Formats: sequence, structure tokens, C-alpha cells
Amino acid sequence: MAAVLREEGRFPAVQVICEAEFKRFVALCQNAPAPTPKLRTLLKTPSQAK
Amino acid sequence: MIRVEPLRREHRRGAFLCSNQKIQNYCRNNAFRDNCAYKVRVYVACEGDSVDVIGYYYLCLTSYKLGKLDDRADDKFGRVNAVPAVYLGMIGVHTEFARQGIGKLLMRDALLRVVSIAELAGTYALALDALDENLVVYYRDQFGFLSFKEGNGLEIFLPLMTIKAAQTD
Repeated sequence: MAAVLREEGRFPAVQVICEAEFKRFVALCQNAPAPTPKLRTLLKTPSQAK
Repeated sequence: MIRVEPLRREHRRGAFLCSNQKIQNYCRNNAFRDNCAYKVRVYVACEGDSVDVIGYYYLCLTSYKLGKLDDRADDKFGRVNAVPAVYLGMIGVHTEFARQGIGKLLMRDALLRVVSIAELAGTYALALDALDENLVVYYRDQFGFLSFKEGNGLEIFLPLMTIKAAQTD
């Protein structure tokens, strides 16, 4: 959307808001706490008990 | 060999013993009824070919008000005004099978099912109520659970993206 607006040279203010919003959303998605080593081990090893 | 599977009528729950009375009684008296009613979905651990329940937990869908979990959730779901989550309830292991890794096996099974649920319908996190402070510390250190921003101290959650990262990193 932001790219289209930029190409057409329309609504520069909206374009800036869209890009900022999009970057914030991407950062949020990538910003989850890193898994603990134990969680990684638990999910990557085959299920086992006993 | 321990297997974890959805609860069925033939699973024997009557002899399930647990140090926590509430968890024991729920398994014996309510789990099958609630499972049949789709209030929750119950998953049980059994040994070998046996149908004796030696551990179990349930999952159900829930949602939290904005401001309850963390800022990431509020930013992500602010437009729909509620944060979707999967709730893990009543995770417990038969006293005779304690400290044999069955609790972790149940947690692993739950985490994988949460990922499946998220693939179908989206969610923010797996949430649970720890029984006491010691368990909060255990879940935090073992699995990386976080405390609710506005909770009673026992309400904790693990973001879906953290679970996904643990699978793929």
C-alpha cells in the first residue's frame, strides 16, 4: 500500500504513517522473547519418558 | 513407553492419584464430561498398551482484556480489543509416576498442539495458572513462561512466537 502511494506520489503523509506502522508491526512479530535452551531441547528432541 | 493421546471413554481414570486433590478429582469426576461437551479437550498419558491414566492435562480457548498480558499483545491485538490465547489446565501426573519426565512429556504435547491451533485460527500465547510460586519459578526457568503484566502472580503465559522459535531456530 505504502509502495503504491509512493509510486503514484499521492498522500505522502499517509505513506509515512503506513510504513512506520508496518515496521512497528514487523518489529513486534520478531520481538518475542527468545526460547530458553530447555524449551528448545524439549521441542526438538523426540518425545520420551522413562 | 509413554504415549499421550486424546481422552476416550475406555481410558481408566478412576484410579488416578495425584498429590493435588483438585487435579485428582477433576480427572476422576469431570474430565470426561467436559471433554464430551467440548468445554475443554483432555489429553492423557498412558503406559504401553494400558489405558490407565497416569497423567493428563486439558486445553481450551480463552481471551484476555488488553493490558492483562504484555505490551506486545496489546499492540498486536489492540484493534480487536481482546488477546486470544490457549489455556492449559489441570496438568498432573499420577503419584507413582512422578519424576519420570511425564510432566515434561505432557507439556511438550501441549505446546505442539498450541502450534497446531495457532496454524488453524491464530493465537497469542499458551496461558496457565500455576498452583504456587514454586511452580511459577519452575515454568519460567524450564520453559520461559512470563508473568502477566496485570495478574495475581500465578498467571503466566508463553508467547506463541517463542514456541515457534524454539521449533525452528
